[in-house]
Parts: sequence; structure tokens; C-alpha cells
Amino acid sequence: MNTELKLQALLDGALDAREIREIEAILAQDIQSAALMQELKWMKAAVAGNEAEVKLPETREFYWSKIERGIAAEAKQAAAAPAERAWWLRFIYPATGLAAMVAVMFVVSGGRTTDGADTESVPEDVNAISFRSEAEAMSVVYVADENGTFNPVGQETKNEPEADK
Amino acid sequence: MSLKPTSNPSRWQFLVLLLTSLSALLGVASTPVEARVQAVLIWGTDEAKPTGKNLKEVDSKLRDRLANVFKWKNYFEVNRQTATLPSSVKVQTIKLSEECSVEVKLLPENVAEVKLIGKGKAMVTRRHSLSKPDALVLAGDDKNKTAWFVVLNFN
Repeated sequence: MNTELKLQALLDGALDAREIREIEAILAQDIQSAALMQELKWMKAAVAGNEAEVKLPETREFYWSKIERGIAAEAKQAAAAPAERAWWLRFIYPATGLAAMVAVMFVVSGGRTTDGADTESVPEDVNAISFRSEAEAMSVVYVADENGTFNPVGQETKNEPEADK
Repeated sequence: MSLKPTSNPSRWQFLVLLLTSLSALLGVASTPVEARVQAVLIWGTDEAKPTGKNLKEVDSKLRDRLANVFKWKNYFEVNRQTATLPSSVKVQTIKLSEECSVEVKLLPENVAEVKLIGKGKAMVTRRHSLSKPDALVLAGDDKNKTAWFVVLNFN
């Protein structure tokens, strides 16, 4: 500890008897240290004697109760914010899970679009090809009757000669 | 850690409401609806209209659609029938000519089953999704390089 700090400690009464004797020996021999000690004493006396007195406009109890109410209000506000967030989370999490479940059910069931429902079946002696024209919005099943006996458009309609029958 | 029952039942009310709504929507989607079907028997040929026959050309829109898919130049309407298919009726038969009729049946999930009957025999049975605006065309070769078409439109 240097001399300045020891002087300050002496002024604050923080030194033991041995240290007090040592610093007093220094003050007796060193004029600068003695002058510094004197200045520190003046400074302490000036601060102690001229400290500004702050007076509260209300009673001490009322002043502290205001601080207490302020702390309580802040704590209440801080507690309210997470609660509101949790309200949304309570809806979001189940809704997300439900949506995922519905999506899985939709995929597993092949969907409700019934696009895959377009199927045909024909007897053994009938050949059929099917295709879809996207441009004409037309699903076609073209039937080839091997026996050639199916003529839905009557001969009388087509005005065919008898020999063609 | 102890589990305590929630004092706010809104989450469960929300889930129940959501499940109920989804069930109702899925139920509606799978319920067969009443459908109206128009069946047109058409003869396709490269020849001109036979003389003395009461044939009329199909409307230009349908003619273009058929001509864009098939090779024939002329398409004549032989017969046109319209029927309503209530979900309560199991099978609706539409007679288009002496030899040809179609049986239409509504199935669940918005699907119609169409059976083409020729001379009392099922020529082809087709399941057709009504969720698409597609027309269903059943067709085949006829004599003298002509063809027949049964065009079915559902709405």
C-alpha cells in the first residue's frame, strides 16, 4: 500500500496500531505527506459539513409504497405477456397436429378427388382402349367389338345399301 | 411434476369444433349428389350427310372437340336424351337406339358408373369421376369406316 492510500486509510480509521505508528513516523519526516494529510482532512470536513440534504415531498412510508407498487406492476405485466403467448400456442400446436393428421389421412386414403376412379371393365370378347384428352376435356373409351355385331347407329339412319350389312 | 386439469376448456372446445367441421366436410364430399346426365348418340363418318335422312350435325363446339380427337370429318347426332339421377335411384337406363342404351349409377365419392349395353349385353363398364368437368365418350368402329359415339356430359 502506498503512502497516499495509507493516509486515506488513516483518515478513515482503517489502520491498526502498528500501521498508525508507521504512518505517523512518515508524516513527521515527510513534509509533502503531511501536507497531503492536511488536505484530505479538510476535504473530509468540507464534504461532511456541506452534504446536500434531500427532503421527500411525502412521507417515507408513502414514498417506498410507491416504489413497491411500481415493482409489483412491472412483475404483473411481465407475467401477463408469456400467458398470452401460451394462449396462442395452445391453439397452434393442436391445430398443427390435427392438420398433419388430416393430411396423412388424405394421402393414405388416396384423396377425395376421385381422379383415380376412372376405370373400365369389358367382357373377354371385347377390346377397349381408354385415353384422356386434356385439351378437349374428354375421357374416351374406344371399344373394338371383335364380332362386329354391335351397331348402335341403325342401318336405316345411315342409309347404307343392303350389301354393306 | 403433477398434472392438473386445465381450467380453460376452450382448447378442447376448439378441437371438438374442428373435428366436427372436418367430419361434416368429408361426409358431404363423400355423399353422392344428384346429377344430371345428357347422353348423345353420334355417328362419325367421312361421307356427306345421307340424303333423305333426318340427321342433324352436332353443334360446332362438340364437332370441333370430337374432330380434334378423332379422325372423322362429319359427326351427326342420332339421338339425344337427358336424365336426372337422384341419389335414391339405383340405376338409370337411357335408351339411345334399338341396340344401344346406357345404364348410369351414382356411386359414393362423386363417381358415376356407366354401363354401355349393346343388344342386351354389357359392352363396357366405366367408372367416371364427376369431380372433373370431363365428358365421357364411349366410342367404337362401325361399318364402312365409320364410327359411333356416345357422349355423356354430367352436371
